[in-house]
Amino acid sequence: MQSVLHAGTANAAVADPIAIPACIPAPSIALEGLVHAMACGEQAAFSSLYQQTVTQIFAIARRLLRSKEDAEEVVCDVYTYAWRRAHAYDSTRGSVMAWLSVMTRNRAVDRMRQRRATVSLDDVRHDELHKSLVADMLGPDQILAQFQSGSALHRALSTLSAQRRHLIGLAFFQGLTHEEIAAVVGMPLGTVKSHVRRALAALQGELSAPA
Amino acid sequence: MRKRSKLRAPAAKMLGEPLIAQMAAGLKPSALSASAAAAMHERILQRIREGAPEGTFTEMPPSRFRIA
Repeated sequence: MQSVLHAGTANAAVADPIAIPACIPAPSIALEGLVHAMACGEQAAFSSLYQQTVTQIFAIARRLLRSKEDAEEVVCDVYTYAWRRAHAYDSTRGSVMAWLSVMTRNRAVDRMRQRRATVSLDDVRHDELHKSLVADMLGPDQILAQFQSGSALHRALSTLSAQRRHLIGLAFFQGLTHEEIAAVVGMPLGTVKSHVRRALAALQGELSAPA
Repeated sequence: MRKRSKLRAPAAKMLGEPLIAQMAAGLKPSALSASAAAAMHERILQRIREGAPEGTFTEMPPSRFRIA
């Protein structure tokens, strides 16, 4: 039977950087050390970082792209870039996981945009583009289902109205701009902006509140 | 230079990196087999070797993934 890894697993054993096990979340300070070592060209540090973070990074790419092949391609891009740009990592801007996660999300969105660009080469480009966006849209309940139940984020998202959660989902999962969201959902641009602004304020309030 | 309209702000700026990172961290896990993880690791190392200056990244042992 094939072994399966799950996000959040980590290997704390530095002595054997090739192993992937143990259900201990990697301390962020340890990951920072690995990135600094990578910046000095230490290959073992790179492998260790990969093993400790790949399940979570893969999960992000997979959830956004809903294609295993595309997700793997994005993961490869992210780690290749991380190796090359390790020297540019700035811990004052965020944790290593945040750095990798934002990079993964942005690359996944770029890939989705590439897919849409391919679709839009058709003669009926606008109709096709619109159809592809609508087909990829997650409903408010589906958006909630993408997040770990019981987590602060799940709770925060569940406090939003279905409509606002839907708009936040379009921005996060599909990387749509305000204008694109307005076009896809058929709302005036100002209304979309207003909903998004209020949804973000509500989310920030919920996420910064003590548990 | 013409100022970029806020109406055209990309979603990344709309949500902000801290929120994107929080949302990404809150996603449900996806199963990843050890063999798929190992294969991606090899692909990445290959890419790095191709792009790395001569003499670097050449003594990496083959990946051996094991699950506890």
